[in-house]
Amino acid sequence: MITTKRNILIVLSAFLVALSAQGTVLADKNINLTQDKQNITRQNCISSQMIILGLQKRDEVSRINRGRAYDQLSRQIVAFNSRFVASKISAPDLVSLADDLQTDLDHFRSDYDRYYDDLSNAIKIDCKNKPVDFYQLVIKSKDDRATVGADIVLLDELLGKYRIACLHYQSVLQSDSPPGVNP
Amino acid sequence: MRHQILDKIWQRLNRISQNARLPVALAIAIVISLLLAFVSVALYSLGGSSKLDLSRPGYERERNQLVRGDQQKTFDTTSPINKGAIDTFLKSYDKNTKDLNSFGDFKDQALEDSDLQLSGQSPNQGL
Repeated sequence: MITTKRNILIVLSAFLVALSAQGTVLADKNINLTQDKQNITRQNCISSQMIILGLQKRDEVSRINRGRAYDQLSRQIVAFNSRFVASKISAPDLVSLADDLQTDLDHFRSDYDRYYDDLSNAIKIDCKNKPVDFYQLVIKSKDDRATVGADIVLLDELLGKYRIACLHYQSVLQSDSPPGVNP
Repeated sequence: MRHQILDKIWQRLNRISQNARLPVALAIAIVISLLLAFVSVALYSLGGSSKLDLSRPGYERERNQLVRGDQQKTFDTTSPINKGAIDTFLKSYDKNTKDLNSFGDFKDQALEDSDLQLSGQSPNQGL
């Protein structure tokens, strides 16, 4: 009985220590704004929110256009890979690139959703009374926007790699004894 | 005791429904439609569709910027692969990848303090 109580106490203590550590990490992420900066933020934040709303709308268009284009390319790639299978040509690198593309496409979508939520929160917040919270949301939005940008760079790289791989297969199929081609 | 109360409630509900069938049916229909509307709005908001919905009021200008691609286009999945097939594929592939360049890439520094008027200077100051 005493041992059970002691175990519960140990678990509780560990939980509390973990919680306080988490608090420290969160506190470290807090941004210290000078009084001047807080005043400027309080003074101009309504205009900032309007600018952020405009940016959110602009980025929504980019997200939809890019999403559609990537979806179409992804379907095109999957169909082309099926033709390799139908022709009994082994192309594991093409399959792997298609999988990577799909994974990064999922990241692109989820990262954009997070960025969109950040912007929505920054637009909705009572920035006159909470300038520090507003500024933190702006910083978070900036970071998450950079993540979406990095996803796009990766997607473009994968599309480039797929093209190069296709050119390789084209040269292989031109030669008389195609290596890696299973009759 | 509990059964008696339930019986009474049931009898009363029966009496109401027999006397006023149309209003009861209407009330049930309204409750069901409200429930369905609630579920639809919840799915719309939580499923992420609202984040990509440009049919909302205030998005007229953005709607015009959407590129109407051929979303229903199907691709050949069975024809044999040869040099010519790869050539044809790459032509279409290059066109689609080239289209990507005309869309925003989220790389511009759009959330800088100066752009949001949070730096204490006007955006054009210092140019």
